[in-house]
Amino acid sequence: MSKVPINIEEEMKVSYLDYAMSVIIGRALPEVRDGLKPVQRRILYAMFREGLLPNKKYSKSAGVVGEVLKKYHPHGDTAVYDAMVRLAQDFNLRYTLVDGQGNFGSIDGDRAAAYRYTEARLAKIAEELLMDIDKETVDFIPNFDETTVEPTVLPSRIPNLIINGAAGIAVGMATNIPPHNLGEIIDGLMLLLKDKNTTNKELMTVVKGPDFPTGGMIYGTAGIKSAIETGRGIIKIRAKARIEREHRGGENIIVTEVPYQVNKARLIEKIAELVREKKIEGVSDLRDESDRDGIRIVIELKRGEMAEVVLNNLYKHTQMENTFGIIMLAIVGGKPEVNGLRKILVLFLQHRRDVILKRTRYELRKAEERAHILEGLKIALDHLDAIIAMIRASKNPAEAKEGLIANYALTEIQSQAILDMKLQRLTGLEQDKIITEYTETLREMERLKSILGSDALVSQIIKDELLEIKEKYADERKTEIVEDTGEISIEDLITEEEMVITVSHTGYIKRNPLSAYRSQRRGGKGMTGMETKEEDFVAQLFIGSTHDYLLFFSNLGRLYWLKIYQIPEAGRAAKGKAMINLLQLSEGERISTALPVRDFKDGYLVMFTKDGTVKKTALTAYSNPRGKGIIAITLEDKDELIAVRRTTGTNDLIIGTRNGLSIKFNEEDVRDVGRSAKGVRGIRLVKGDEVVAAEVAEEKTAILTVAENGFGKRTRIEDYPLQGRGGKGVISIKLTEKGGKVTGLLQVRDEDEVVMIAGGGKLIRTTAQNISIHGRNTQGVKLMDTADEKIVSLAKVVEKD
Amino acid sequence: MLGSEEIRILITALGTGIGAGDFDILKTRYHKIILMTDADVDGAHIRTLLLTFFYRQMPQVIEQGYLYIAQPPLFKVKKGKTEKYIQNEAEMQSMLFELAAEDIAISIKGQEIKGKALIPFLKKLSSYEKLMEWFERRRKDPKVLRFLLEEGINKDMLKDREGLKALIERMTTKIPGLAIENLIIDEEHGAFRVEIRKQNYKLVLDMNLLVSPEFRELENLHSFIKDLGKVPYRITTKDGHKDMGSTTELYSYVFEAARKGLSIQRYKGLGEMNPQQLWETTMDSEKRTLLQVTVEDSVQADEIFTILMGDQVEPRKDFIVKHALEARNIDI
Repeated sequence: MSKVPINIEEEMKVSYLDYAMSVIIGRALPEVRDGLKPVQRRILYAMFREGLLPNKKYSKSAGVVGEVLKKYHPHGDTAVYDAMVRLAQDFNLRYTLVDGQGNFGSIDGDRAAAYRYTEARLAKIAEELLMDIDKETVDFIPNFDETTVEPTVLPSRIPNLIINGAAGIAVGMATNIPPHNLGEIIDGLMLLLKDKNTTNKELMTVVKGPDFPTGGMIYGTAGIKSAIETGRGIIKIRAKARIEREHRGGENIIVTEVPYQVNKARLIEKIAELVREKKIEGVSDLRDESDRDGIRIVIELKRGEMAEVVLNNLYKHTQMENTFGIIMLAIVGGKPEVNGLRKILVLFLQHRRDVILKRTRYELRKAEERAHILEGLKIALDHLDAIIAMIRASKNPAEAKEGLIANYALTEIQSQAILDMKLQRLTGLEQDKIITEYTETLREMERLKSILGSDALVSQIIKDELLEIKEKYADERKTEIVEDTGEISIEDLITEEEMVITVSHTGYIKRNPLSAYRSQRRGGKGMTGMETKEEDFVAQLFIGSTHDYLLFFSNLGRLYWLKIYQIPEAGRAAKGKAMINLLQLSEGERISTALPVRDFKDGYLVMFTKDGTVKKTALTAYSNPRGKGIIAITLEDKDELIAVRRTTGTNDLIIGTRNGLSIKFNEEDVRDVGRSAKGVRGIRLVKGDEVVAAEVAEEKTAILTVAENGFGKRTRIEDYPLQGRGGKGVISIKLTEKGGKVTGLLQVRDEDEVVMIAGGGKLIRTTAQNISIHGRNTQGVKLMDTADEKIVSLAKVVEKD
Repeated sequence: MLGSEEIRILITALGTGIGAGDFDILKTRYHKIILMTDADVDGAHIRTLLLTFFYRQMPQVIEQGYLYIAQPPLFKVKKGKTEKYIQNEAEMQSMLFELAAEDIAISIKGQEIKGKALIPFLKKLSSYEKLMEWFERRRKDPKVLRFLLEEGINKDMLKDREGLKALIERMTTKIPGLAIENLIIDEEHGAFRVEIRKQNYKLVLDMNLLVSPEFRELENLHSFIKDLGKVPYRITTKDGHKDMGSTTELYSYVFEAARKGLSIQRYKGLGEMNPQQLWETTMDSEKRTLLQVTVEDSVQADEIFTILMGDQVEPRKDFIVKHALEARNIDI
């Protein structure tokens, strides 16, 4: 035994490289010229040699698989059969190369029947791949056991790589070339033949982009452009769907085409799963009505659902929209290369040129050989009688041949041809035929020679052959290409409309179209904006477009966004939906302020906390909505956000406290800070005191202060002196034992209606002008008989008129 | 990896246990653990996986020198009724040299050389052609190289502007279709440099080329090739004389002739051999050749395992691209 040491590092390197390069060159990647991986080429070539031509009978797939394994491809039988099946599947190949008989699988991922059942022959277009293969057009190499030879590439009259595409994972690299439309590609090749400097950009005037056998839509052209230019790009493919109105009133989404390489059965399962998990809402039933005529998935919607919105969600959450990462990697001159469209087409044209030159040389050689024999025959005809006499006199064929060579300057080949000649060729007509054939052959030789001498002629042949292919096989584009209208959001599907949003005191919210509110003359009674529970009423009302935002600030200092269209639309008299169900609030969190915002450009938000701090931040800081909400203000322990107000940057602010103090200062005293910063001191509170309300002071208003036992009064806004920020403030209401502490402050105008609610649910509603006006340092009058209950809440009633 | 059934069986068979705390090299049942995989690239792949397993999980097995790689034959050659197993490409080659030399005589320095005396020349010829192929794969035009060698290119010629121009002039007349740029001054070497292009080929003729080990080896081989004299090269076979237009033609003719009448079967799978054949060629402990796996530089070894078997794709790709041309057996 001999023992040779070997370094593990070297062994790893060498073995791995052999493996990796073999997979890259010889297994997973297609050759740029014929677009085939070795296994595919071997299948087609084996079928060709077996005579499984399009006009012949189908033959058992098992025979093809066996032939491929035996002669060309020493690997697994399933690998070969699977590869062959794929070549026959019209949902995988844009132009199928194998014509299958029997069950060849389906777009639902069903596998083909076993190879003992199915039959196959070459598809018509595959013949174009193999055309001229026996005219010495391509290189042949010995097969694995050197018993026969196989082609290294096919002559390929069709630009197979780009029309059928390819997918394959090698080692450290992968290819993913989408199929294209044959007609468009040939148009592109024509441009290149006309002007070899045609750019990718110019090619794009005729090649619109990938064209998938399964149709669908490509969304956006940026990815296509990048793929054509550089060989890499990402495109979005969408299922083709339409919305059908049912006669009983509901709407259905009908999917008729799915994205390339999406398994339809799995897609439907996924939709069903998402519906079950309530990730997609509004679907009442889902059926697959596909049959031999085509795909038809029916998604039935619940009544009143917006089909566009559901469809958009389907695109977003399922493979009804799929991304296709294009990597146009193929073997070029024995090495893997990523190329743009132009280079791929140029390489194809080079190959065609090469094949045509080789074919022409072969034909010329054959013609020369034929001419050589015909010349011999002609000589024989000229000396017919003498030659016949000489042949008759010869002892054996060898002597006859020698006689011919010696006496008539004929070559051995010519002499043999004369000896092989049938007697019937000596008839007059046949003699003429030989002469005609000879002149024709000479003419043919001239033609072939002129081709070999002229690039332009070769180009013309390439062109003619391609146009013939286009004529025979080109078809309509199947995949629609749609300009990407930017990120498509639900908003694009929702008409912009002015809405009235009402928020009830107990936290119910809804919207109605503004048009639903009849315009009333001033002084009319007004209409109820919202049917509320006995003890509830509309506390806030905004008007905004469906596309505007509503900002919700919680007591814990978090901010949530909703688009107005996300607020449920409910009848004018309906209650709406509780805000806690719309926003992801945590426990103990409630909304202290809601604000409508159209754009986040100008102005500030000023926040007031229970501990007396204020924080001013530019509105723009809140312009990036996030589903889970963000921190709007950082609060100290136990502090709470009381109110948020929108300001211009120069407004006066008023803060009122539980102990009846208040402060008015200009907001310019408050420096604006970042989104999640803490506030600064707004009012200095004594121990046990807290902020209960804050307002932006307006002109000609009064401040209504209400104490918990039902006392209250209005005080003119100008009675509040403007002070510096952070002071103790001034008295807003004189607190008494009888009156109790302050429940709230409200800035009111004479005509405003206000509501006071007592603990037991008792509610008093009055117009502001019914409440008398007093100075600041007074205790006011009894506004409400609260019995033993305290007033817990104070609000303006908002009604629309 | 440890979840694989085969690996579990392997671990059980070794008897050493696995993992920190459990693994004990002293418990191993075997002191020769021989990896025997198919001779094709998939076999090579499995070998890399197994080597990784041992390197990462049982490095002591390698450190103790217990791990080996079997050497099944690559070819079975049949001539008439006799069969011969050939271990590797090199052995295959020398057999072909011998066969070729038996039947063919080549005229070298005006003398007909034949038989054993011819073998050294055939070896040079083969290396020369392979090296040319190596250059061609790197897009250096063999025609240009041959011309330069025939002209006896040397460092001094690169320093002589007029001489170099004349040389290029001769080259363009001899090899049509060349695109040659102007001479560029190569200050570092006090010489000139010139780029010679033809379609996909690109050769930079400068000092760096002349001092590169590959080119010097080519020069060295060419000094033997020169002995053939001028084209056509004359060879003599049983059927008479034949003229060869180039060394490449000569090379392929000689080896084609040697292969004639041989049936060469390339072994890929171990399953292709009968048990008896497998014993004779690979397993017979008297005759077999084993490669003993060793770790010379553990830092480098670790690096290569990380690149080839790690999670990062990018370094693996870089490695493959960098070393692509070094791959020896590419299986298609």
